[in-house]
Amino acid sequence: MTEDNDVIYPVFFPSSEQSRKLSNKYGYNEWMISRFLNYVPDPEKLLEYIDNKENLHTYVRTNTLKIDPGTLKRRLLSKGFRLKDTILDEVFEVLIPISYQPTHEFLREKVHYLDDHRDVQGKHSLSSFQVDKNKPKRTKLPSIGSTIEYLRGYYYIQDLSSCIAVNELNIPDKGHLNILDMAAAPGGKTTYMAQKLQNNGMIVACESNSKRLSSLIFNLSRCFVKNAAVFNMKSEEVEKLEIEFDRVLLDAPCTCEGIIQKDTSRKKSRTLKDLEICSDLQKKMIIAGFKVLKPGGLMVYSTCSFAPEENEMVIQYLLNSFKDAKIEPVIFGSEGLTKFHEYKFTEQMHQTKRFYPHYHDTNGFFIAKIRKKVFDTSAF
Amino acid sequence: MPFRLLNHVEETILKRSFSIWGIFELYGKEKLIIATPSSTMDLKHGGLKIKNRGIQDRPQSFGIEVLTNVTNSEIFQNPVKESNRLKVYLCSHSLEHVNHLMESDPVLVGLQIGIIRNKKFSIGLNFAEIVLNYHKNRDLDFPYVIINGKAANLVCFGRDIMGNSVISCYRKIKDNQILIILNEDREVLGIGRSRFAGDLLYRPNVITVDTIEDIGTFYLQNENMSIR
Ligand SMILES: C[S@@+](CC[C@H](N)C(=O)[O-])C[C@H]1O[C@@H](n2cnc3c(N)ncnc32)[C@H](O)[C@@H]1O
Repeated sequence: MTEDNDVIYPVFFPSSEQSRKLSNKYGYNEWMISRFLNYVPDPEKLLEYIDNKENLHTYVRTNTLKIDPGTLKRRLLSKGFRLKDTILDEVFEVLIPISYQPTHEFLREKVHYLDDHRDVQGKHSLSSFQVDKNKPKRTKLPSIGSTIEYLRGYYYIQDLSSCIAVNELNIPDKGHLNILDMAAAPGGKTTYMAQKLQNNGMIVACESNSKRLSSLIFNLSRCFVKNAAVFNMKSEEVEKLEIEFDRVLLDAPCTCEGIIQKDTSRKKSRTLKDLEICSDLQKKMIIAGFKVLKPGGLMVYSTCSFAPEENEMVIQYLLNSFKDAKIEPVIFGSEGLTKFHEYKFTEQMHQTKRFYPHYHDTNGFFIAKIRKKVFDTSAF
Repeated sequence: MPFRLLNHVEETILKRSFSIWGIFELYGKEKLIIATPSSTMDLKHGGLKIKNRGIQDRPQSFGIEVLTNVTNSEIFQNPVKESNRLKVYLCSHSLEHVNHLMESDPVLVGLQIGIIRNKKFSIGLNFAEIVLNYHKNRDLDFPYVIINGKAANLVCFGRDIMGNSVISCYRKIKDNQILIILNEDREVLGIGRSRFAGDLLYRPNVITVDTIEDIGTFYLQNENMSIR
């Protein structure tokens, strides 16, 4: 695939004894399992891991437009939440039993009791455990999505992998940058970028699904974002806005293989056709995004999928289309694939990063970082 | 085009409000813009219409309509109701290309701080936040009420305020006056309207402040489904 964009995808792997056994055991479409066996490391461990709800991890990202991480941490600890630091200063893991996932009912006056049974020590280095030792062991605890701190926009519930994607945009403090968010709703990454810019510069946030705009607008308002403009448009058409950007984030719509743990319907609901549709759309979007990136500018591409057709293949497609596109290394995560089935990708593809729930305690995720070289902007 | 810069009248209205709420100094520091309603705009863009108890004229602090028992189809049939409601937004001066962006049919530019209706500005939660930020290390010289922790949890989801819950309030409060509802940490929980003047706000066992906007109701209605 390094030279030629005309590849056949998605790749279908034939059924095997093992894929049959695992798909029966864990309730997946068999074709998904056959594929996982070919690109996920320790696939059985992954399936076992995500089958156990106790392995769900909840992270909160401090909204520094409203509060500093230290103060937020003190407030949540004093309410009885148990927190773990992570590799990002403003992000904490919240250790809460699964029954505390925010739901409608929890929001009224319900309170719950903290179970201490999930005393998970960070087995990977992305986070380290912390708790307010002065707190009694069993504490009245509201859901993490219904605290006053949440409603006041002091934090955003967001997976660590998503936060790392934004972090990789290398946004300088108070930077007066123009940033494009090509797939914005519900606004997790838009609001994070706004806080990195400290409400300076400009964020153009595109979202094509009008039904998802309300959550985006709600979150921008809750997080006190003043520097964003939202467009209900397909971001493939972003050139029409006639703006060039210093940073482009494409957190692409995808098959969401990486969040099956949070939405188990995806074990069965996706088809190979969906994978093909997503991959096609992602290619169109990445090309459109790269075109409006300023020379010297940086693009981050991410998905919550493990599928190479949605990840490395899309990046390779971009590299094949623009000679001024260059992969830059992402710091955290496991190396991106340099080959898949019969396809070989550029050697630099290992600098893209993959996140696996059973390795990193995050969603399944993919992050690539691409610089637009300054000297030559022509497509070939 | 739904977004535009302020006209003269609107500038005067807003300057007055900034002054009433003690933040005149901030006027002009950041760009203020207006979204004029096009009767179909919110619907076209999927703007959420929430059925809500009580007050019809609440300032749409989340940029999303909060209506009292009014459905989308009713708005289609009665666009006039919407047409004199101008949403006011604040955006960082640095928001480059603002004029250009406004011409490109955005759904949102900046942060909604309130609405102008019938030549009056109704503050939204974000405006209240700005007022509080400004008064961080100053005396609170604007209409407010501070309530206790127990009441705070309920007011966040729209409950009105009983006199027993009031810890302190602005001395010069009049009846039927818009005020900012705060918790003991001086954080904005909502916007209310006083039923009584001055010390009568402490009257036990009666509602003394109606909560007309709060930080939680929208969330209750439109639970944030973000899982990423
Ligand atoms: C993975 S989600 C984005 C999550 C978001 N970045 C966050 O962090 O909260 C992908 C979003 O892209 C939107 N989308 C799908 N196709 C699009 C397109 N062609 N242009 C713009 N947005 C699109 C979807 O509706 C969805 O809201």
